[in-house]
Amino acid sequence: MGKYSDSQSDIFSVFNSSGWKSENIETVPQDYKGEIFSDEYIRVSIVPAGRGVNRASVSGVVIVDIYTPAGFGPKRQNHIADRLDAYLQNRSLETQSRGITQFLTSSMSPLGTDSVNTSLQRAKYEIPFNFFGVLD
Amino acid sequence: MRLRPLIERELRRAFKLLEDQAVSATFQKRVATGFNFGTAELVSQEGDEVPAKVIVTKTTRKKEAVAKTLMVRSSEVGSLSLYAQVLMDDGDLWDIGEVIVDRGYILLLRIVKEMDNG
Repeated sequence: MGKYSDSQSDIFSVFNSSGWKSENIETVPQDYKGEIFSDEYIRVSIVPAGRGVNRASVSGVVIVDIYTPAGFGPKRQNHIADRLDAYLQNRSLETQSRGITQFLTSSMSPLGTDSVNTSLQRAKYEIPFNFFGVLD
Repeated sequence: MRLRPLIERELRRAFKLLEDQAVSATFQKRVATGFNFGTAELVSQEGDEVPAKVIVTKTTRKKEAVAKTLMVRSSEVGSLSLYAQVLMDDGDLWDIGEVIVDRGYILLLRIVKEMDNG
């Protein structure tokens, strides 16, 4: 594959892991427009917009929009961000691709009530990553 | 008399009067129920096939795609997800682009098809 597909596979593998699934946090990717069954969920976007150390590598940021019920304060979104940290922050992934994905440290911004679904509040969790691909 | 049955009846009548403008279409419903991060693919279920009379109000051709705006009675098709498709009278399957207007009784929706440039 290529650096974009390989880094995506690595990052998606976190959300396909039995550990993450056992967290019971409904997880969808960007542009998913299907049904969502829970009143709290996360939407994962991979933005591989930065340069890599070589032509097989890329850097970027994983942005996770955290949706939780509005009116209940920040406790739940902070908890979900902490759970994301447990799986991502400062972790290295070496999965099907021959490359390595390294995550750096995360940050989070509470964004208040969601403009589309006002029964939800949204927070933006961001974590930069570097994908080191292998030159053939 | 309750208002909704009256509106529905008049809409049926309007579509009947426009019979030569209306074309037959079949909505092939499909619902996405999740996403598989292992395969990076949608988890979806095929739904019902719903025949309906639709009125094409606009056709737009661009380089790579052709789009049509359809008017259809809401009660005929029910709810539509973005993953549904429409089999039009040209025999082609069109993707649903967006629901432009949903008045509760009438839907205006955009359907799109890639142009065959081969």
